[in-house]
Amino acid sequence: MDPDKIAAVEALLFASDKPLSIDKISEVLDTTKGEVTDVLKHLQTIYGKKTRGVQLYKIAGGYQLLTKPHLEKYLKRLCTHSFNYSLSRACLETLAIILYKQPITRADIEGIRGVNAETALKSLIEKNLVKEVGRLDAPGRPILYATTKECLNYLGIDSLNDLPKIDSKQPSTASTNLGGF
Amino acid sequence: MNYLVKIDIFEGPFDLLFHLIEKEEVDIYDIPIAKITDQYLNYIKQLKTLDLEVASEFLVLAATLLEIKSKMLLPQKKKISNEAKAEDIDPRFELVERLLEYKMFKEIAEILKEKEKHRKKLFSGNNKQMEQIYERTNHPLKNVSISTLIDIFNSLQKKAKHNQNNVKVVQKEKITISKQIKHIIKKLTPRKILNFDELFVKKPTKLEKIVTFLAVLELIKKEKIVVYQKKNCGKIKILLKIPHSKREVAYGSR
Repeated sequence: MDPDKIAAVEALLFASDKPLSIDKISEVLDTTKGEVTDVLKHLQTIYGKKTRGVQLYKIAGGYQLLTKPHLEKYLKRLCTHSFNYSLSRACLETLAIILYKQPITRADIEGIRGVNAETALKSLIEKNLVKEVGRLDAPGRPILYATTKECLNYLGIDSLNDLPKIDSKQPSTASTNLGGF
Repeated sequence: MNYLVKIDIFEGPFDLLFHLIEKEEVDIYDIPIAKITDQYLNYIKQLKTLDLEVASEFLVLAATLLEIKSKMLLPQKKKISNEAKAEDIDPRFELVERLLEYKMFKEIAEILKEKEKHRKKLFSGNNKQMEQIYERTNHPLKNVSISTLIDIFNSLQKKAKHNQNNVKVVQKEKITISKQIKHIIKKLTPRKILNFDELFVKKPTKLEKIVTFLAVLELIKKEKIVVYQKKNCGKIKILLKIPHSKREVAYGSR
């Protein structure tokens, strides 16, 4: 493996503020995707060592250098920003529905939750976790909502496939499946 | 206000119903509708004074529960054949389906919460993206609960009621622009030139000043007077404009 390539990939990951896809890295370094994959694997083993504070995470369809979870306590002391914020239950429930049923209209979200979802939706859109993706070809042409890439990053998952599987036709079995997750 | 605290706990009618079912430790497929409906109605009675959209959402499910309850009290018309499906015979079927779907997403929401919590432990060298998400949450009303707002609203209503008994009669304005125009012309005619202050006999009220000033503007528009001011905030001089016909008389024709 070319040491320069390894260094370059590490530099890109270090400098980027969002996950980088293999496509993007290979494009920037003018190399094959195969080589990038090899370099990433190599980096992953290096970061796996106990002496390293960062790890390579596969998030939102790309790779990102993030600190290891057990170091949180130190980083929190360093951080001037308060990271205490978390989504409200209403937002989490709304987000859960959108994640699985997207694209979905507000009316359908409200049908499942039994409550008005306007505030929750607004808040999710404001945070760029959810966006409008068009309109349903039905009376009133209601707006359709879907999750964003930032949403995957926010949850620290690579793709929607990483969410627990559900069977929409048999919700009862789905819920038991979730128990083991 | 005790009931407000209770509302806060539930994310809507399904959440409440779910809580009741779990509390009773009954099978979700065999809900004792009469009992649960009573408990549900007892709960939303506490909502009575809170006439908001929230209450209506809870009432929709209350109506559904009562409908199911009445259906279950009625005897089945036909004898059920062995092939009949659960949805044909049990009026609770649809509700249970919806409840289960809600339950599923409620559980997923919990999983998402865990993921969110875990993700927050990981820091990137450049935390801008995450920071943006956090920063957008600095809402001015972030720490204000719904109960605080309701308390404020209630106290305002009390105040409003109190004020209703304290009616004041608003006097009709005695000064009008047309009156002031006549007044200005009358004062100006013998002297031809006046300070704006001299239009008032005694110390004028704010309204008097405003109306008089408007009257002056009106007279300028009608080209009856000319107004000038030597410097900013200086005295405003008002001159009577001599109409063309009279001017000829005054200066004499050529």
